[in-house]
Amino acid sequence: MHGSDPPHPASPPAERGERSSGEKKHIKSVADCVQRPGHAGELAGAASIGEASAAGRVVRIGLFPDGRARFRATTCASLIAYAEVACQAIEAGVLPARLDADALRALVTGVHPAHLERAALVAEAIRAALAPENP
Amino acid sequence: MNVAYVFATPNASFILEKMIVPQLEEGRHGATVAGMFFFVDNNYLLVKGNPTGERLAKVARRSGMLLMGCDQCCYQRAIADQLIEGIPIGCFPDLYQALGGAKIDQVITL
Repeated sequence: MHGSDPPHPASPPAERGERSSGEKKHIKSVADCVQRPGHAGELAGAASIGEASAAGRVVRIGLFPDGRARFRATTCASLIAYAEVACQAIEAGVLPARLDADALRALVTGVHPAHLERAALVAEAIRAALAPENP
Repeated sequence: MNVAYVFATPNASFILEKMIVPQLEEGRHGATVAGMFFFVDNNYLLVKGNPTGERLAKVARRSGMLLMGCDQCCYQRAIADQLIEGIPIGCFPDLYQALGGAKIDQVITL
């Protein structure tokens, strides 16, 4: 599992950004996210944790009471990238429920066509974290 | 004999272009190549339009040989979405899964 880096409260600066309907989008490359996964970290203390898995890959998203979002994921570059941008977006104020697979795909550039489905895995983990039964 | 090639050195381009690819095209390589895995800059061989990569892809389509790029190497070089159509990228678990049934006799690192 990736995520040994200590939690970092601030989102790393975006290399490229654009404004769309008043909301800043941080579009990153997979390499950026893997090299500096600022939101990888421990999930202990999260208000809710959602998990999704497929084909041996696992991602967990933790939503914290203070607004932080953190993830842990198996060492899959594109999965880490989608989880990283998801947590960054949540901390930037995007409602987690709005982060579906397409929204996440729009935040990461240069993904191999066969890896685009990994955005759906992260979106599923977010939905799981938002589920009513989640403590 | 079934072999798999791992291209991890700067010599890969020369060896592929001048030796392995022509031999595969001519059906005289002498071993069945089940798969090839590409590390570091060797992934540029798999980018659309690379003459050696296109020739390799043609052989692979005909023979069923696996061509796979290292995913992190491709992402670091921002070429993951520019590869020849149908060439996957992955890491060791993906490679082992893809070649799991190939009964490989030798893995050769070049």
